Amino acid sequence: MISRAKYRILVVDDEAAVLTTYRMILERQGYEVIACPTSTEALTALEKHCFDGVLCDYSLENRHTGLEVILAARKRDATIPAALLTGYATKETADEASSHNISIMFKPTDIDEFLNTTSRLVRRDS
Amino acid sequence: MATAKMHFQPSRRRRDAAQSRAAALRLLQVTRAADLLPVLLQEVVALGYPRAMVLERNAGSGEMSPIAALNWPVPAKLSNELAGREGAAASVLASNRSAVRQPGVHASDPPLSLHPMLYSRASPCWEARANAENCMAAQNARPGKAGAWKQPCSVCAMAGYAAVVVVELRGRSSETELAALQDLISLANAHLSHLVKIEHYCHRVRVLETALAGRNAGIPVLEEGEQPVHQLPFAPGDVQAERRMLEIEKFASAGRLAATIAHEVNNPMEAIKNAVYLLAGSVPESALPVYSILKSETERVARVVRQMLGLYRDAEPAKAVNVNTLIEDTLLLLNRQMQRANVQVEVELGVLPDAVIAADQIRQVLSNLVINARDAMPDGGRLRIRSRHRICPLQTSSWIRILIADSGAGIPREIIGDIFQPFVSTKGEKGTGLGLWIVKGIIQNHAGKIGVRSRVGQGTVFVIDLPVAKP
Repeated sequence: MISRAKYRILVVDDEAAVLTTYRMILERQGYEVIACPTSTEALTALEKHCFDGVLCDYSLENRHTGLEVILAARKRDATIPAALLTGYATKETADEASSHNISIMFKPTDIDEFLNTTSRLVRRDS
Repeated sequence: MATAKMHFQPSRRRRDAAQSRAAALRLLQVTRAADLLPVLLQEVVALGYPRAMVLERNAGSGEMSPIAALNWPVPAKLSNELAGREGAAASVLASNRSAVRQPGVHASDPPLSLHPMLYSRASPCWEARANAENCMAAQNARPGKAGAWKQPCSVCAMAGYAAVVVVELRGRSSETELAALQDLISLANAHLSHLVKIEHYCHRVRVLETALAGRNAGIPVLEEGEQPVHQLPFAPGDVQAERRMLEIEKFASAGRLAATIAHEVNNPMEAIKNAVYLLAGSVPESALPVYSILKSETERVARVVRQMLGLYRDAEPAKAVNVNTLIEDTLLLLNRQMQRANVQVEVELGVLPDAVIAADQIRQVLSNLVINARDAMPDGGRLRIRSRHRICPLQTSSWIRILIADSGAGIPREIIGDIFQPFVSTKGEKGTGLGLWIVKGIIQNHAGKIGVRSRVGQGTVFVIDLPVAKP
């Protein structure tokens, strides 16, 4: 029987310190975390592993967006829970995210909120 | 009963007035500066004048040459008497007053009426203001500034314009007719100045956006080599586009600060906050007080940044909100600033129904007006905010009325008519001149109304009415 003891989460952010601290916070909470600093690495990771959730900063390297990464993840698993992290979102971005059933978390995040949202996401609590 | 048809003949004066109004309205529909002069000439000829043209002053030689004409085959060279350096057109510009030139040299020359059109926005560009410099375009707009037209502003590179409209009269024209013509051209000039200013502003903001690299802002950024299009990006009444314009202004006026907060402060802030959280378990007891300060002050900065960025988040759709809550939120946010400015705040909130509004936008309106009020009272004073639910007598509609009153310097009568226009400010270098224009735009987007009453030396009251749309 293959049972995954922990939920596996993909975290993507092009800010090194933010990426590291998110990873540490989530690991401490009991998640298995794969952290990628670029959208390219994230896409590679998506090919190699299965994830229970994806947390992506909106603005990534070279004008790539977290939305691209999440939509790529959705191609493999159409219902994978996902959230965008961003300092601000225009109406267009917000509309697009909600149309794909992607949550938005606004930075600076409240850590409790961050952990609650992540927990609800991976457990697929609506 | 007599059934003879009665022919109602409108008096000639009424017909002329209606004609003038229609012409004025058509002029004000023009949305691009480049289109205005042709439309003006069409309207002039439609009034019954045989032909008309526009001469522009050549900055170097001082001579005037035609830049637009209707029904007028432009001769290779206009007479010196009309278009020369010392000619009739030049003197009309110098005096900034219309004049009629009677048949002169040749008895067969028809009389001409000449009207000056000078760039007339006297408010300096926001860049010059931000850098505490003088904006040449504004200086040149002041009356009596002969000779310096078309000298561009050294900060924003905007040049004004100096032109003369020449209209061929048919025989003797009455005073009234000439006055109507003059009014039409003055209106056209005011509108042209407005369009030139806005187009210039849009152009400068686009230039600035590339420098700010507004990623993810949903605002188009010029690609490498792409030429900025120097034109008004929308038609009046286009609500979507006006909102986009407001977004652009938000970034432009806060400018570097917004981009800095959004990209530079936000991410390190996130990492610091995360790190503080991660340290929680490993802090030795002796260090707990210090850690506690670190944690609470970090949370405080995070709250402030979130609130500031909240102004840029368009994610909230319009929904039923109580305006009193927004008023209280705004006062809470600005409480410390009011205290420091020695402004006493009095609040009187009536019972209000919920209204369907864009909460963030109304918050912006309120904080804009409250901050304006504070700025009007540099030595302190009193700020009163009232809200009331007004039900119209027929019970068919109701409104939420918000009053924001200060005990400051007041707004002089000469400019109070203009304060909702863009680029009008009483704050000298500190204001962008766009705050009230944005406020008015937001209120209009809500199908509401905004008005102002003021008395110099006593204070100013802003009155906002928002319709209550049942959710």
